[in-house]
Amino acid sequence: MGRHDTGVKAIAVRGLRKGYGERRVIEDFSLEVEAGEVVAILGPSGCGKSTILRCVGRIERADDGTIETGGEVGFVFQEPRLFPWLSVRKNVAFAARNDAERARVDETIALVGLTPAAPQLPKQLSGGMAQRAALARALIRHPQVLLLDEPLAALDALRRLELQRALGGILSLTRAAAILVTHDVDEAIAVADRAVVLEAHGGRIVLDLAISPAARSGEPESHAMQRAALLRALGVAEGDARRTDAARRASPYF
Amino acid sequence: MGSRLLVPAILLAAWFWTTSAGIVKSYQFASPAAVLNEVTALAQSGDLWADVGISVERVAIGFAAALLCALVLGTLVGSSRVAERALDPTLQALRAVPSLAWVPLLLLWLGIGEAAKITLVAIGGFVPIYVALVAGIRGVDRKLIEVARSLGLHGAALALRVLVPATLPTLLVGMRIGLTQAWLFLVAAELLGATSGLGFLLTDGQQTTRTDEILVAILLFALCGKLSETALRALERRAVGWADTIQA
Repeated sequence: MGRHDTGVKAIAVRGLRKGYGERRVIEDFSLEVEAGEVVAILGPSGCGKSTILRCVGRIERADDGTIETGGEVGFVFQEPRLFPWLSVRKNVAFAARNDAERARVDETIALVGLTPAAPQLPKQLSGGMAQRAALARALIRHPQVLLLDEPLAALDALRRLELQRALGGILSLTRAAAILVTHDVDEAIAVADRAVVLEAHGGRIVLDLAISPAARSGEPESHAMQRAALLRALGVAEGDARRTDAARRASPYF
Repeated sequence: MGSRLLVPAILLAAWFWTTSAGIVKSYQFASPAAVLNEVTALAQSGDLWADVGISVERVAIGFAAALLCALVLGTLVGSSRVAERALDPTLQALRAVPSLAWVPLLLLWLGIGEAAKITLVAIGGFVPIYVALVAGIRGVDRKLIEVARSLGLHGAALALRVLVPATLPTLLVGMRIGLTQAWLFLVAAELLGATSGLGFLLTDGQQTTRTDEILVAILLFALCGKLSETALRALERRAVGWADTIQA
């Protein structure tokens, strides 16, 4: 199914449950990602997409369920989160643990197209450049698993499109299994091999759709079809959210 | 540049004119010439260097002690809630005490020797550094710590590679204010029972109604304070030029 299909599971999540105090965010979430496969997680805001990703990345501890990730995990946050006192080059080198990884710093910066900006400080970078640097920092350890938490959400439309294209290329080059959390259907189609749509509450998958290469390359008909399928699933999810909220407001016993 | 020198030039001219025309008597305010003479005389006798030297020494030792204590206590209070509850109220209360209030106690404890003066300077320098460091540690962006943790950094490595550089800008501002405070407290220390130093020049000038001597001391204080502040500012610019602020 993936672009580099080997049949090996790089990420396996089963029965993930996570809440904050009384609030149950994820009740039952399961997902398998093959090596080299890119999976987009779509869902209405507040459905727990980011929570799932943070659990898979061990940034947060899951309440229940099993999470298996094969090999090194790289994480890209919604904001670049660069260390402001370090240049781009040193920010990328920050994640390097040995000489072999340090030797790859310039090459990785070139991969994300940031070579001219390598000596610059984060405050001198545009939003798109900063996010590229953050991506390079996550790539320096050659991760087998890449977790991307709405990495393009903070960018303006033009930059988003530009970086979306770059991200697709970089992901297929690195051959890492990746989960891309996004709320943008077009981004999911452009970057991912597979898109899953989550329910508004609880994290159950309402649609698991393989993105056809034709749709990804922008062939209008298949693009429109897959877009419609994803939007319909999202609409149902969002409709559920609205109905639940309306029911809550209407009934004191809900 | 011209506009910056305008006010000092007018003041100097007014000083020159009022003293030379006899509007202000020399026992009220010495003339520029008298001050210049006094500086030359003090320099030639060697007293100038001795007094400046001992004052600078007291500030340097006191400030170093203040920095050391503030680094230890500030790090403790900034990074541990237990230490904060145990120590911070006391330290905040000490901070509220005006500098001169310490003098009688320090004289009783430590006599009128160097120890009392250096301790007073250290108290003055400690407070701003401590306050800034605690605020700096508290203000470190949690998101950056999360990044470092996700990269597998913990303990000393996390502190050294993330907390220290992130705290440095605030700490350096605290150090600059602390140094100014150290000079302030030095004057208090030297006004009361000193036989050397710039503060001694002040009291000596007062007792012998030598306004030229007093003015020399005041000018030297201004010079020393400005020079030490400039040095720290330069350090700040070098160390924290990355900070995304208007100043930088």
